Amino acid sequence: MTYADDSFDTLPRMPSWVTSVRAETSEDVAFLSGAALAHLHLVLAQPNVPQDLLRARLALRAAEACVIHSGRPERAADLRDAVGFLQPGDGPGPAGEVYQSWQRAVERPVSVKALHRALPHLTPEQIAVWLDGCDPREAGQAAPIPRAVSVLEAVTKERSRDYGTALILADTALAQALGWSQMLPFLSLGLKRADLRLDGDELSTAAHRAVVKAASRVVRETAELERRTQRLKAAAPRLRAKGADEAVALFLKSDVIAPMNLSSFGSQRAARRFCDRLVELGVARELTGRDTFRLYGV
Amino acid sequence: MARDHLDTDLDRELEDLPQELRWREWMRRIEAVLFASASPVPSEDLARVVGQGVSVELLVEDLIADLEGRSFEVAKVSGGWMMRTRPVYAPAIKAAADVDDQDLDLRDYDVAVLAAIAYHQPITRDGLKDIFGKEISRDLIGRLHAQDLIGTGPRSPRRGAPYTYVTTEKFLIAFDLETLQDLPDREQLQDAGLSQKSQNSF
Repeated sequence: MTYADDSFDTLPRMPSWVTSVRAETSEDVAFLSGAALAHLHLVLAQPNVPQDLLRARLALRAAEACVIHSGRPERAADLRDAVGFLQPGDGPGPAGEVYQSWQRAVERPVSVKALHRALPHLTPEQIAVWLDGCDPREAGQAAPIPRAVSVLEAVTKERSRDYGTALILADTALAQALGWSQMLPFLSLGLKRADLRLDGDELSTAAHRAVVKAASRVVRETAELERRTQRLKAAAPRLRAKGADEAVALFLKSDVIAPMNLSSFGSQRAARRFCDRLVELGVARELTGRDTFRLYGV
Repeated sequence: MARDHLDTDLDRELEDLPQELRWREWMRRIEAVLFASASPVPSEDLARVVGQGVSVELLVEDLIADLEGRSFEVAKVSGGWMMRTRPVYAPAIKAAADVDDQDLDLRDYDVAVLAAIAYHQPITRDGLKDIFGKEISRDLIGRLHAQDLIGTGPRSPRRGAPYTYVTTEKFLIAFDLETLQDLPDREQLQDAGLSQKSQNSF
């Protein structure tokens, strides 16, 4: 399904020269990455951007990238399954843990405490040292990309295979340097596995390239999620089931929803019926293609 | 914990030693830590016994060069460093030493099931049944579990929500893989007629 001629298309477009110019020198790449970041800043500030949902969706993409880097076979659908049906006492498995880390890292404003919740295998001291003290006065001082790159380099040096940890911390450092209160998975979307083995200037250039690549991806994803949430909002008044308002609110901020987690309806059956109704109205999608254990999202 | 205790008591900087001896002492410390540990030690842990900001990588490199010609070596395994005997001495060790309890003692069929789990993880017992065309016994799964070669993954989203199996860090160590990506390429195996494409576990 395409929404190309949808009337909700209100986000500013990325100037085409940012992504179409083939940059050769590191100065050119850095220039384009600056332009891409500035544009992204503008896009994210638009009033209708579903911030929570966007972060949740990008967390999934970033987790998938990390799982691929570490050579595991799971992909986005497996990650959603691993975490979507978690029951008390069960673990999500190695790939699901990476996804959970990303989910927790984007859920709350950046702080050592929030990151410790996302990365429980690190001590708060370690996190603070890597993030340069997490001092709000520090944040925004160093140039964004060098700051993120130095964090990335420091963490990969000590935890050579732990791409998830390194990229979460690098993206957090980037968000801090850009003055964002919450982290947005970003560098992790653009960096390739081979890039993570680089250091120094080569890593910097790879990071700038990654920013250009990630920015256009994030802008695209933002535009799509914005359109979809607008449709859901427009359809919301027609949903009169008891508990529908709470459920719609959840849909507007979560990447994926299992009907069993929609407690506002009082029964699983009503929750399932509501989800199917959203699909009928064309404002939500069933994500798994299964008949049972279904997952939904906008 | 012991770790904090270490941090306060151990003289990491060794400032009273001349530079060359200091370096040597740091190498020996790393050697001692690796010798004493049964599992791979991550670089960040090794960094705790040497001076602040000193490159563990360089120290380990020198240590590896130092051990040239000895029967054991320092190897990088699953995100850490580990000391182990060189593979050529396996027959000698087997002939003389009592290493039964360290031996993985896997039967051929166990290895086949382990390989299937490695390639198709997370996979349920039903998924394994589809691959092998017969039930995989709980005993066999239990043996792999007991050896810590597999662990429990997420529940599979299907009737009864059965548990899936995944491989562990120990699996990577036992088969000398840095990551799962180092498994022999699936396509190559298929081309060689050693594996048939089977449907995904979900």
